[in-house]
Amino acid sequence: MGKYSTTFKNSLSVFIQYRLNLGLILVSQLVSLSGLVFLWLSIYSSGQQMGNYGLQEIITYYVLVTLIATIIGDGIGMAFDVVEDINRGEIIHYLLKPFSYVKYRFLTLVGAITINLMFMAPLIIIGGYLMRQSFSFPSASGWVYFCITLSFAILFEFLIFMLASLSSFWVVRGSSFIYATILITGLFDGSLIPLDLFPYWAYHITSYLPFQFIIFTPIQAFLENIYSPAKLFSVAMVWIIILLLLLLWVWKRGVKKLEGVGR
Amino acid sequence: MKNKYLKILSRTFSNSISEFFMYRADFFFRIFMGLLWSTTSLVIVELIFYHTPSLDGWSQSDILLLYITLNLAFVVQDVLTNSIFELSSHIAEGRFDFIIIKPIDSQFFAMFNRPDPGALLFFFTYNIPLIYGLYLHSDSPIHWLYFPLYILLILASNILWMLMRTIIMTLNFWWQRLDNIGQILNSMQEIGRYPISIYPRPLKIIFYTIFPIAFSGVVPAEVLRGNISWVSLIGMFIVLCILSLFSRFLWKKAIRNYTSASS
Repeated sequence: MGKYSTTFKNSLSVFIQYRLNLGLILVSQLVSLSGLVFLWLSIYSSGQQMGNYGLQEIITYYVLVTLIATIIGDGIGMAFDVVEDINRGEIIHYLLKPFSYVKYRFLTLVGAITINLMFMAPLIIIGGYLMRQSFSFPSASGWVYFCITLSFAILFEFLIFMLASLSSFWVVRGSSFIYATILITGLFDGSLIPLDLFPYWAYHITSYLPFQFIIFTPIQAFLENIYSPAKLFSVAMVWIIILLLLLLWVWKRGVKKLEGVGR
Repeated sequence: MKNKYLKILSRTFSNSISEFFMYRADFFFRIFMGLLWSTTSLVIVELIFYHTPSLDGWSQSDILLLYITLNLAFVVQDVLTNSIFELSSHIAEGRFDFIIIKPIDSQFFAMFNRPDPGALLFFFTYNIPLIYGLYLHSDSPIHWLYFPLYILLILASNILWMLMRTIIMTLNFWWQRLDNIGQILNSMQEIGRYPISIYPRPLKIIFYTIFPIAFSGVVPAEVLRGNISWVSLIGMFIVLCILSLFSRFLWKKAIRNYTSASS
């Protein structure tokens, strides 16, 4: 375990160097999501209503989307790093060590998220205090649900993007799979439009997909809108098992196929 | 002198085409990505107009026209100057030295050394379904008489964003590993997909000056809707001149201050 705790500490040191990158992620998230906020403001000002969301709820929703996406967004960067490691053959250095590359990448991601949380925490506290009149905070059990679902978000972010990045074992441009994954998760994780604003049949389908756990489910936990937690956690556990087994299988097949010429 | 640059551009483009056709999987994947993007865009537009009949006076077909216009405004620079995004890693890893020692303008080479012809394939597969969607929802007239002016504005937009990209990426000379700085530009593209009129006045000023996304989407689209604003057209020309001069000035300053990392 010592080698993995060292990995975690090293990733804290590395990511604290690149705190400007965190600022850039936050700015880009704020920019793209401000577009959506003003879009909904424009719709509400014309007298329309979006499902069961009042204006305050929809603003709360997108503030939370920004926060969660900024905190856990390093999963995408991790995926591109894995693609580069495989394409350049540098992954061979890790295979020769008594060290799990997948665990290493997971702990590095957790380190990055920890740094993001550390830097975002003052902003969240100050912002929460200033917006306390227009923000509805959850009860104690709501906070517990939120923390649990946020942990699931980190895990799903890792599993989904790690799987996408392992396509590099077979294709030259593994980054194309990552862009496709970004697109699909963006549509089905609720970051663009709340999933419960989809037509009922589409919402029903998305409630059985793993992408909802990245953004939509933590926000619903915060807003205390989870009405069947047992079903939700069952779906989450089933997908975690499926994705873990798939990841292990793809990893084993990929390593068998790997050729490290000149390394 | 001009012949040298045209020859180099033509040679790098033909090399890129050869490289592109070497990887047939990449060819089909670009088609798949284009169709995925268009599906996502059409779904988002359908969801918005599922809840509202118009968006600040823009109908569904107007929004689709805006999407297509924005894509046209970025296609030339996506094809020709995609390599500018590699500047961050070139500088950090010492590979920029191999650019600067060549007997050619370094800014030209950094921008045009690796064209991406696959972006053209992506562009067509992305936009053909959007054009079909526009045809199906054609509830607003298109003023074809202004089409030549529209094309001129699209070409100007491409040059404008080529310069914006270069300016943003040049910042890497001072702050290394700004890996996520390109994301800010992508976020601006998202902003441009909605009518600028939905934003408050301070943001509108920003979108016509510092981050002139309005000139890439709304202004050309309004021309085809029959609303020509000569103030906007003159403003676009002024912004283009300022960005040309600033981009060149910043690049020369960056080169004077450049110190090699290692090579």
